Amino acid sequence: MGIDYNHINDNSLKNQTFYFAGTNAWQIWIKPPNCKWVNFFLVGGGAGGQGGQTGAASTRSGGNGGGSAAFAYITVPSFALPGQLYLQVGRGGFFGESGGTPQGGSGGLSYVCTIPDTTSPYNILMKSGTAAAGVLGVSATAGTVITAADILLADIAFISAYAGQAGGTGGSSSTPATNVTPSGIPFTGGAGGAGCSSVGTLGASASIVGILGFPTISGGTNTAVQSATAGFGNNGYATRENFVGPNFKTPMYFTGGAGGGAASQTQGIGGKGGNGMFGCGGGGGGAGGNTTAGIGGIGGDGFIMITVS
Amino acid sequence: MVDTFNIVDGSQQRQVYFANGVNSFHTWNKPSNCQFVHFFVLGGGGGGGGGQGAGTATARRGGGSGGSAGGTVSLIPSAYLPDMIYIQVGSGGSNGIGGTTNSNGGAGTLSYIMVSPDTSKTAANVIIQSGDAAAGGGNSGLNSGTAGIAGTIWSYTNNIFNDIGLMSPFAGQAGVLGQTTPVPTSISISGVTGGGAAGAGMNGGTAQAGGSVNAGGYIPTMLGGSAGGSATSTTAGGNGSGAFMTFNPNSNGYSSQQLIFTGGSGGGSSDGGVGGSGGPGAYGSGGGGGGAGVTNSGGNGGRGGDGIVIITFW
Repeated sequence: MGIDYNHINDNSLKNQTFYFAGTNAWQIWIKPPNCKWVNFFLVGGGAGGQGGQTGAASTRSGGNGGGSAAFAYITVPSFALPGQLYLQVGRGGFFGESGGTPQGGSGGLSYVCTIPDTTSPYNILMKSGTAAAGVLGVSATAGTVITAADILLADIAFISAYAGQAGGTGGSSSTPATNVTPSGIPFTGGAGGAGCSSVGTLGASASIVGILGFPTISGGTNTAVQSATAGFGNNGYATRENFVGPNFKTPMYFTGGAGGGAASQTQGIGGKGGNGMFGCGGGGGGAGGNTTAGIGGIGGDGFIMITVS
Repeated sequence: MVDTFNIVDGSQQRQVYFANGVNSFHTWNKPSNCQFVHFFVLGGGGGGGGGQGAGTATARRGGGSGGSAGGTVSLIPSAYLPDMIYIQVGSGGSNGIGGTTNSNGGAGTLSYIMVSPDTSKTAANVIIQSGDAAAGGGNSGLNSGTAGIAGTIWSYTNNIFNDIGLMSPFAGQAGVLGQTTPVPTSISISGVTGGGAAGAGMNGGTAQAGGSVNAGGYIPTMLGGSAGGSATSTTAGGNGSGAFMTFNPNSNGYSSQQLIFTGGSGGGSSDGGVGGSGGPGAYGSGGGGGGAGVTNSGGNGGRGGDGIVIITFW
């Protein structure tokens, strides 16, 4: 092998990232010759945030943030793998509607399969989690972690798998929504939207707390102005927009969207929740006036990264 | 060097070691400049039990099938390993004999990676071993047809080298009970190895097919042996099939399928003839149980698959 003085990236397919390509769409990975060792990183889609509630002169809550997806690192010697694998990447959940019902959609799981099929356990080589982030009617639920029993190749693999983080609860009445603090995983839930009391007292929307020098993702500001729209929650933060590397200055880290602000007046409009980044939950929408509350943010899509050596 | 075309370069990808006898050691020399070493250490599977023989129209059990072995995968920086290590690969358990003997299947044996060729397997000399307890053989039909136990995971008791790298031990899969009635239970693989399926028994005059290994993914259905003849027929029960593997591990080739080894299927029973033999297990997998037959004519069990050790380095 030649001496690599300049650390120039080659194009030998040592690191490939696969993104969401459509519901039930399959992408193909070909095992490179001469590789000895393959690492898979799978994360599912985050759940969408719930919309805020409406009804001036009534107590209304901000929407809950969407949960983040479970994820898994799985490392396998290449001889144990087929020459071709089929990948399905989970989509981020839809935003929840104004009024709070329906809540945000659940994210999709990500799969690595031996044939394009996610129904037979014999065909699923690995997956990002056992349950997706968000379940029907409860968008704040975190994705649940896989165990060795979920993977046929577990006998011969090294597996590190983690559950996602639950989305933050939306503010109830004038009680502020609780900020979301990253919990040791690089994918956070979304933060809740702001609520409002029956007499127009506004609560605060929630933010994603900044850690390790990464910024705080602020929730939207409230409004007490008739017909005005409250501030939108900021979209989540990402240290990777894509994974063309391998030289990155910061570790891989993604956050959910922040909560939307609330509107106290009868014609006020609640702020939208921020969208989640990869695998993260959308923020909850802020409470609105009589007609329109903030919609939730969209959950971040999942991805699958495959590294070989 | 820029590897533009990803062409197979013909270099040795890994080294594969097979069973070569009790207390026999292979050696592996650490290549120059290698940085990491990955081990796949699999023990031998249990053998299937022999089917029971008795007079026509009486109750007879098929042999229980053998369990599959546990194993350990490990990733170790090469600097933590000695330049030479010793490898002992476990053997598959013997097949139980039907006929006049009606013996149990034998247990498999464990596989080891060691710092010295220590036939006592002193824990302090062991770097990696495939499990704590080896896969058990299935009992004969005469001996209740009890299923062979699964190999148990390595618990590192008294070992000192298990902390030098990532270790991930796994358990095997138990075999299946041999029965007198109905069609014996089939088995579905649950990991990279599988137990065998039971031999067929009989409770009356109707012969049965042996238990199958169920299909899934790359694995085809491996049917148990066919049913043999009635009391007035000497048609033997069919033999089980077995030893299926998606590919035979080797040192240089490119594998195009997922690694899976399965157990053998069970032999069919015969009221008036010889019971069918159980199929053999592939690497680390259990043998199928023998089918029941007429007096002194139970079928043999299938042999357990030998263990295997695969070392990948880079």
